[in-house]
Amino acid sequence: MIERTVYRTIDRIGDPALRRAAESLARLVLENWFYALVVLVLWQFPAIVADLSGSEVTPRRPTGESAFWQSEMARALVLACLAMSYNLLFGYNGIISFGHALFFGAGGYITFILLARVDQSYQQEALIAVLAVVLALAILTRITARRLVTLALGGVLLVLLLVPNTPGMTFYQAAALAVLGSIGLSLISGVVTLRLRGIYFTMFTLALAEMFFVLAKSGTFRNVTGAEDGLGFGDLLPAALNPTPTGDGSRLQMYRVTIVFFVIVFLAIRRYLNSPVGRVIVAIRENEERARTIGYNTFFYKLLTMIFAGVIATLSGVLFVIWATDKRVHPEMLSLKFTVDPLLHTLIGGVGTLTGPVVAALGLILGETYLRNETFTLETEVLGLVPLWQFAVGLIAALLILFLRRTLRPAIHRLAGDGGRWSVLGAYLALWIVVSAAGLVAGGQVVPDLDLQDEVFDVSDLWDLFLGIVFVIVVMLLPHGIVGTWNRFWITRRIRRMERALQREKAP
Amino acid sequence: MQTYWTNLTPQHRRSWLLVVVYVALLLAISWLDFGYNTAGQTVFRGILLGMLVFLVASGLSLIFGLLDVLNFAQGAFLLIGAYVGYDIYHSLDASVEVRFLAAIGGGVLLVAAIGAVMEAGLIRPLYERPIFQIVLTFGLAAIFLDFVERIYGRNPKQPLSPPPLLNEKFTLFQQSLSVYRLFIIGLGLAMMIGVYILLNRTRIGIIIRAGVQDPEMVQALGINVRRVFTLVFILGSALAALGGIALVPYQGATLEMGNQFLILAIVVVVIGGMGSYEGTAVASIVVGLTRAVAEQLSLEHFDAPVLAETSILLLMIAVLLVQPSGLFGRGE
Repeated sequence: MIERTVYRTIDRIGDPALRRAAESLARLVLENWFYALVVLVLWQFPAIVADLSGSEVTPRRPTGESAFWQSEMARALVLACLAMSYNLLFGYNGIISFGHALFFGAGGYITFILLARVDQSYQQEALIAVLAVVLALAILTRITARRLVTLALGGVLLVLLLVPNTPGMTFYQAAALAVLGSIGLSLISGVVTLRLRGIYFTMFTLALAEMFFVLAKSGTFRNVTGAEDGLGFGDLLPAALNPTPTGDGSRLQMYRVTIVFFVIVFLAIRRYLNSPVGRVIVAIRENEERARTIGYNTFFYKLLTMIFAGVIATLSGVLFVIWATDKRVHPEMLSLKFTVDPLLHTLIGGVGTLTGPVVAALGLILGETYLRNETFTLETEVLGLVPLWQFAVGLIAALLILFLRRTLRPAIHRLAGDGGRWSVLGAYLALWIVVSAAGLVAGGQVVPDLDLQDEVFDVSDLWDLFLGIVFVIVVMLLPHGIVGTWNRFWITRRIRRMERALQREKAP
Repeated sequence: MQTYWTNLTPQHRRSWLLVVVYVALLLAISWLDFGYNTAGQTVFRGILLGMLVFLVASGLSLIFGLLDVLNFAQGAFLLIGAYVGYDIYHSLDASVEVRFLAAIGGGVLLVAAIGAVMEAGLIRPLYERPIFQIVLTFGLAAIFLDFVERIYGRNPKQPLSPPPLLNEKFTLFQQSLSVYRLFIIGLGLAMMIGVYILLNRTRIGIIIRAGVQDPEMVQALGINVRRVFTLVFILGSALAALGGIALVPYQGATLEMGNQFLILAIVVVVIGGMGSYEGTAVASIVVGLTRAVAEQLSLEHFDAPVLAETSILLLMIAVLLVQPSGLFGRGE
């Protein structure tokens, strides 16, 4: 509606250059106003929370609602970035990697190992290493002299920039080296794994990530990684990036840095997907053989996407560690949890949608934080009608029948006879009642024994169970996730409307 | 004359030679390095580990071969089997033998039931969306792990004592061991041979092997191939549960167990070649031996467990570089 009016007004502009400029401006605003609004709300979020709860935005100590929600929101945004990078691989390129936690953990570990453990200058050693690599390339490969010189100069420049000749390292140098390390990791693992087909690739990435998890936990490298206790880095963070309020407003500042990072990641991924490369990786997802037949080097594009997603995951890992309350890098960062979580967020939000992982990550993580201290008992009633546990039994019975419907279909049709649709429905209903009744009776037998009636449940204890149920339901019934289904709904509606308009034109 | 050897493809013949040479090399290294007795103990440990891994890996391989589903929940099945078996063993009020048998039976039956519901209810509707099948089993594994943690807690469970008959000691390579270790090896061997007979000598086995080749054709011949799918899934999950329960008297039950064995099983299946039964059997022994020898090597020379933890992965990388479809996989 508004769109149409705006574009119609622009069309009336006489000067073609002016019209083009107005058009691109209008497109920019019309396509991004919603995102801009969200960023604005995020930016003002600490102030909003402070207003609602009557706490300070920049307290001297990390207490109070606003300070608490700043860190929670920042952590959710960081994990949303991780989910977006996973979605780039899984949703847009069709690469199912079960080792994404490797890059996330690599960010935390490389950065903070360099920051906390390097106490002398390695500049000379690094320069020698670069020259050795260049020499090896010159002898072993048929690289052109020009490229060789470029490589050597670039390598020396990087070393001079990132490896200081004074003892120790600044945080930014360490983080930049972590990104370089992540690119190297993607290159090595990508060259080995991307040649494997489908399931072999998935298994290989899982095993690789698990190996690094074991290495991080292993006592052999205790003086480097801190083994199971993790690596403490104390107050080595630069003042600008330290979310623990030492002076005034340092947490708020870090919160804003996190938002900027989030926005940059979002825009970078969108730009990547809208570029020609992005079109190619979607084509690879749809049909890799065909993309190769057309003449694209699919291996290169997949490797590029892996590197891109890996770098985002690495930077998210760095930010995640910065926000850790105990100022330690834990081996858990490399564990399956940080592969499963982005996978869940991607699936629930919508595979292959830009905003899906963000919606799911923010919703689920903040929801868990919000409900963390809530409790409930089984005597709570749903809608004031049925006790909660009876409702749960009925729901589980319904889901069971729903998932088993293909297996049950012959039996149901035998039961229903030739009575048509309504008797089939009746048969399902009867089955549901029988199963629920059986569940209720069995539950009635069990529940008094277990004393579940009086037990008080913590929401945080049952959160993973809830997530699991949501996950199964989404995978089985909503393959496009929340945002994907939402998009499809509106697109279908628009198509129907257009069809109807076409028919109306044809009718007379 | 047609023998097993002449029926093999050249690629598989080469793989057999590779395996024999590699195992001989391992044995030679351990004998020369550790001396006769320690080498014997190491090899025994390796075979034991190999048998346990085989129980998980054979299910993984069978299910993948027939259903084209990689069941990442296999490790979780092992975990459930172990914990439920532990629970049954301690909650019953009977003689040790009865409790032990009940633990095995109960754990295996429960996991088989879970496998049946999972296949029929969750995996079967997803045959049109194969990516989601993998994702689903992966997610379910996380959920199962969570369930077990919720019900039985984080603390590791102590090893339970097997029946007195299996608890006796015997001496092998100057080391006193309990008969239970022999029992595990025997169990593994029995399952290896049992499944082999099931696959090669029975009617259901011929249907399974035909289904691995071409499920649609089997369906066209009037066989309800979906029912066979479910059966194989149940068989695979039950084998994993059996492995889990067999582990409990040996090293107790921990939450990490499931993932550890899943990784080992994945390595075995990749090395052996997806869907190849003989490959899985051979590879599990090879992986078990490699792991044990690497453990002993790092114990004696490097004072670091890292070599042991990464050895099998390096082995897997090496095999994949030489033969991308595994030792006994169907070549591309």
